Amino acid sequence: MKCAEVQNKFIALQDGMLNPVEKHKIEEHLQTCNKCQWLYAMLTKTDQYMAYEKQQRSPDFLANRILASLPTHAAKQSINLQLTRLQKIAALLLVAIGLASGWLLGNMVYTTDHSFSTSVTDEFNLGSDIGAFEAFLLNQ
Amino acid sequence: MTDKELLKRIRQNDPPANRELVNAYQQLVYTTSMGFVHNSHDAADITQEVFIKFFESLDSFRGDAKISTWLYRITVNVSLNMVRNERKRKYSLEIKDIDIPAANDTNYDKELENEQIKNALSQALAKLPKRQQSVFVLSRYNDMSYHEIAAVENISVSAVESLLYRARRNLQKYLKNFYEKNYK
Repeated sequence: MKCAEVQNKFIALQDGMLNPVEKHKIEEHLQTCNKCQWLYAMLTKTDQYMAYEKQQRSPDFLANRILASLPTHAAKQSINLQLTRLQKIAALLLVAIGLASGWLLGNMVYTTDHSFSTSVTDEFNLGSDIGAFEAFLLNQ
Repeated sequence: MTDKELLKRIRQNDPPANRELVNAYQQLVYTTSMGFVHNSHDAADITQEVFIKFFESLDSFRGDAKISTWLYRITVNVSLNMVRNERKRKYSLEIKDIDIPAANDTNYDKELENEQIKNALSQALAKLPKRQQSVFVLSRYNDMSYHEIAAVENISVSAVESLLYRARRNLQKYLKNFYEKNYK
């Protein structure tokens, strides 16, 4: 077997996924090839190192440190919550003010329109009065 | 106590519930972050940050997923960010910086070897694409099933399988290059 072929089977060898014949061939190669033997040993040591890291317990002080950092956060959250509530109230007030201003403006426009149209009508009446007056004068 | 009950108590600002959550999940977060950063100091910092982020995101957590799944997701993101920042700072322990051990000091030999392996592992893992990196760590450091990893990563089970296979192949390739270059 060539080195590349053997090295390609390292994962399967580590996982115990090789059939007995393949396993035997690879083990035979490892006994005769220093390079592959060395590489396989390094990879196995890396695996063992990962297993060692995995077993590391978190430090005893950590839980208290985490919990001590949370109240500040809880306070922040409550401030945020209050801000959100205030923002909601402000938004509602703005909508209310907008509606009220709209209603007032609408009323003002209506009043102006109404007085304008009344004045036009008055003018028209005046105009017709003038016309009537002219007709009266002509008749005289 | 179920996740939902615990969350309900936390949302009601019940301090013992906060402690229960931290006690129940601290080790899980610590072990996962260890798989990314390979040192206890950074792993502790990440664990603290993860819990703060968890509490910050409580409002957006609807409770459809398990608390552990949510914590894994945050841990992966925070850890990957730290690894990225570390790489930016070009942090690495070069072999030339290690003191030559005394002749008969076997403990020192072992320590040195561990330091070399840790260095190789950090650099090789950091070279993997993010998804491969996180799938590998979740599988190797947390013994999670493909289904659990799929839930954390929000991908299919077959995608997890394929990512994990590629991660292991690539890791072996990078480790081989690293060891041949530095220690042969």
